[in-house]
Amino acid sequence: MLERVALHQTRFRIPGITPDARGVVLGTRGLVLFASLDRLATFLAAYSAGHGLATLAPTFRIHVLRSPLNVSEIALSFDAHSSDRMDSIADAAKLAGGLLFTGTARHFVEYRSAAAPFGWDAADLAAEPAALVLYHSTFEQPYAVEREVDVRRFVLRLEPRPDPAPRRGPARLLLAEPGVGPALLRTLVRSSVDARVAVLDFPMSSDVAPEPDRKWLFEVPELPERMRLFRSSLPGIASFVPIAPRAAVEEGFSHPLTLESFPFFGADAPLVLFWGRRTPLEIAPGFSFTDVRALVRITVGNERPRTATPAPVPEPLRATLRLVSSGRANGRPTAAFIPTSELSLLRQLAYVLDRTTLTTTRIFFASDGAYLVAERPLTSIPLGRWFEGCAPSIFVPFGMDLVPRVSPGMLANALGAEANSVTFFFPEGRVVSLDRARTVTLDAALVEGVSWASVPGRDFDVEVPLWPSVRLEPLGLRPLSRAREKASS
Amino acid sequence: MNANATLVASVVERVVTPLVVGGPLRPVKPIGEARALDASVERDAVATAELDVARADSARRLAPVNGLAPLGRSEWLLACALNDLLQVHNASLDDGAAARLLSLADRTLSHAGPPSTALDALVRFATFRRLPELVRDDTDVISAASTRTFRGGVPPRRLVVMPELRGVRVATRRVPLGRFADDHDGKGPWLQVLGRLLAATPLVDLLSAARAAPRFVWSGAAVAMIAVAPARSLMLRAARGASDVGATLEALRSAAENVPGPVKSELILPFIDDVATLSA
Repeated sequence: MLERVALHQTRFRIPGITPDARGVVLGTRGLVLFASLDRLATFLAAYSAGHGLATLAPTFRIHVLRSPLNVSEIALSFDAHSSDRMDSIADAAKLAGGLLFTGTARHFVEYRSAAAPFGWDAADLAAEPAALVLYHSTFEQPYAVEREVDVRRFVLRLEPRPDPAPRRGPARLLLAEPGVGPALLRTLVRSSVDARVAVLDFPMSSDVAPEPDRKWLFEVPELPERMRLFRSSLPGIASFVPIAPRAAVEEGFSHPLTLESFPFFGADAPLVLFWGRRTPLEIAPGFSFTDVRALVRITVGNERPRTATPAPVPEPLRATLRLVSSGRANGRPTAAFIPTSELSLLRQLAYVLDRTTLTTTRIFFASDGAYLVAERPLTSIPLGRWFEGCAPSIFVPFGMDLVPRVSPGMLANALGAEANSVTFFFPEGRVVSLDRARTVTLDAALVEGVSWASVPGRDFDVEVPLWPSVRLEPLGLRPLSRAREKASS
Repeated sequence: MNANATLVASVVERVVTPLVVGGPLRPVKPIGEARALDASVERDAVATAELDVARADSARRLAPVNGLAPLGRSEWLLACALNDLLQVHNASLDDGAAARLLSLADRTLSHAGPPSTALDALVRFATFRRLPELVRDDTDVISAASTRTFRGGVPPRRLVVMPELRGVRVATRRVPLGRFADDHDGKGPWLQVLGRLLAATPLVDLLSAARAAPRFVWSGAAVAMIAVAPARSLMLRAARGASDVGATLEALRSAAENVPGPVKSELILPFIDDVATLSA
């Protein structure tokens, strides 16, 4: 018989249980009782899918119990830690058909439920000298421990199941037979696929086997889609999908447990390759991968390297820049030089120029005239001499071209032009370079200075909204003479 | 201009515009239910830029609108009802006429009904936002023999001429809307009709919920407003825009006591909680 634990109860018959901060009675250990191993696997699958097992799994112990009626049952025990952890384990245990108990040594009592929010305590302790006694609200049972099952071994014994939609990450581990390993290595190198390889020797599969079972293991961080053939069942090559730092499952299968939750498959653990229908391969840590490019066959030639002698330095090849007629009919005059004599015409023309021309044209005043540089063709300013750009910031007379046609960067270097300069080539052989920073927009140059008069400010009062105030005026004789009800229809 | 258009122009100029913009509000002669309904077709004839701008300004306190449609039928009827409601206290009316005019105002009000959409409520708010701010300057002419009160009017010159010689004292006091009927026999019915007028403009009703009289009640229009998401947003903004949010919350909670269970628990109390949370 069990008794409900009351809030603030401090004395219990089950040894080793105490109330935690929330008042829930807990022992140092929790225990889930399952009828069979497949229920235990279901529990682990359900719990590992939603919770990390980094701290819990190292405390797992699996025992096969035997009752006085010779019935075998499975017990999974672990550190209880807190009622929060126990509550989440209780949820998963319910899904798997397990019963959750808590206790410290031999006596385990049913964990709290809706019927007893603070847990249970036994009315009397069992007198039998059993290895384990479980107290449940529906039974009280002594058990003998038949044997212990290694948790990691148990997890490795779980077989992957076919998965029609397996995980499709790009990383793969390719396990190749010795006959195809070198060919696969050359293929990966030839295809410029980053990969590392290790050659592993497995214990002989039978006593009559002549030598250890050797495999080539390729680690491919990103297997290209064009090489998806390797993911399928290519004879001699098996593809594994990494699902934990040290665990991978054969392509087309998935493991029933969420293996990345288990610490057995952490970075320092042995690498486990889960076959779909075979015993897992366990590879002890210590082997090292090598870049596949380092293993490509290298040919050693017989000829000595030839030594080159410096050739005589030729005379510098220089040519004078010349302006020639370009013969183009579709040039764009985006710059102009207007001599001083025509500047008055520009002033008059400014009154009819559109705003875009005024704001996008920059002007530089020099002693001999004004230089205009625009983003658009300057056809609206038919004054002076037009220029067109043969390179960025280098202008030649409209209809002419600069030969030899060297690249703009080379031309700028040859001229020693500053980065922020604009260069004009004149047909008479004169070259003028302007500092772009000293140009101004045409509209700024045209507007004459205006003296501004300051207007003194004045204080103003905050406007106060007028109050709506009712004023009633005399209504005269018969004030309601026109106020009537609506005639009823 | 026909008689109806003249009436609309007068009401807009003398009642609606001062109500929205501010200034002296001079009600026109009693309109009555029949004329208010007849003239409702002429309401578009008069619209002033000043009124339009002031209404849009009022509406923008609750919603980002560029402008509002001209005065609608329901606003016109509410304005007529307000005109008649204010004229009830005109000294030119005896008790019987005042009671009849109050009845006519109530009947006019019934034709306006509650707002049918959130926009309708916003438009009414734009026009009647300052209704609770209405005041009336009453003048008391006090002599040794008697005291005469002129409600919203100027006493005849013969009564106030040479006050010192005749021993007469003139005192002016500003009376808020809720106390217009304090010294009137039909105070209760008048406040009831005023309450119905406020209930027809639920956003104004909520904005002035902390008023002394008539006490705020959760009308059907107000409950309908807080039951629909867009209208509820407007109601929340109106409640938060009240000058004294604490008193407004108290009035809302007090009024909720008289509301049946589901409406109170599912609509009103969550709304009051939201107002309190947003105003904290």
